[in-house]
Amino acid sequence: MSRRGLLAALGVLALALAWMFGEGLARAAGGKTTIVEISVIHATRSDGGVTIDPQLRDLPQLTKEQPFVRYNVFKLLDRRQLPCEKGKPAAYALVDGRTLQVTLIDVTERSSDQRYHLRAEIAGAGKKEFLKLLEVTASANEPFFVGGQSYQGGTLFLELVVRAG
Amino acid sequence: MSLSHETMLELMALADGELQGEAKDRVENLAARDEEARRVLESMRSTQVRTWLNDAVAQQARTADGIADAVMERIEADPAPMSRASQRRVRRIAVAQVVVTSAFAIAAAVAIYLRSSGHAAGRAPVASVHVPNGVTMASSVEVEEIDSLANVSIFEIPAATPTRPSTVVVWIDDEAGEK
Repeated sequence: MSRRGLLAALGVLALALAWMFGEGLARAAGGKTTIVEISVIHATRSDGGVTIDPQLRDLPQLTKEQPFVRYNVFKLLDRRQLPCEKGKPAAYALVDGRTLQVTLIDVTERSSDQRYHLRAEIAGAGKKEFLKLLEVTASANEPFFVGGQSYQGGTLFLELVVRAG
Repeated sequence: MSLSHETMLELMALADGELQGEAKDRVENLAARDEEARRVLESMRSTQVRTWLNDAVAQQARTADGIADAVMERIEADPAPMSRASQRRVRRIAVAQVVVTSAFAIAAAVAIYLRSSGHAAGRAPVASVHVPNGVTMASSVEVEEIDSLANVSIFEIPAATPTRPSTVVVWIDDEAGEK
């Protein structure tokens, strides 16, 4: 093998090692996919009693508090698990034509608990930006809600929760 | 080796006496100015190397790159035409090539790491409602930052049992914003 050929082979080997090394670092830094579960809840006000979709198991304990107390009918429109890779926005089309974009910013440790730093944005449907930016840090299986979007005589509550992989 | 393939071919042609006129003057001037060109020319003029060169040209005429490599290998293998200084220089060049290749590899590794960990992803500056120091509610959910043109409220709903975290609701008044 010529000297140049040997150098080329070494170069290819070095790049292959670099790729493996880089991927290893990325994985160690949290490069794996995290699941963000999104539930879209349509809340309306009716003259009847309280009606809560049976799939919304944790909601009944919240409906006596603001802002849920303004409504008495809660229906689950969609529930989707969105794979989120660190630093890469994941988009979800909402029923009102807007788009929810979720980005996993970082994963940190706090007293043996993994904390997920998320960024959410909601825009589109020819309207002004509804939510330019929301940054939240939460543990796995701890939901938070974003409410207030007008939809078919009521409002939408988006429940976001990180599901540990 | 810093000489180009074309220069190597011209030096070979000069060594074989195939150059004339302006081309011959130009290559001779190059050999007079450039020590490496001169050494290569001297090597090519030695009978042993020239005989081999003819074989090499016949075998590897398809690629100039292959010829240049083969010439250098042969020169390195023949201690007579190349001085120790030239050998050291060739070795230094080889080491430099390995160092440059390694530098590229390290740069690639860093680039892959930064790309994968999202450090390179910048964020456009926005006018925002900043929640100082990530206000920690009784819930373990921390609202770090909110930016919206509409009215924003944050509700914290205590959990039914103390062992469970409270619930955070970010309320953005869509209708008020539409007015």
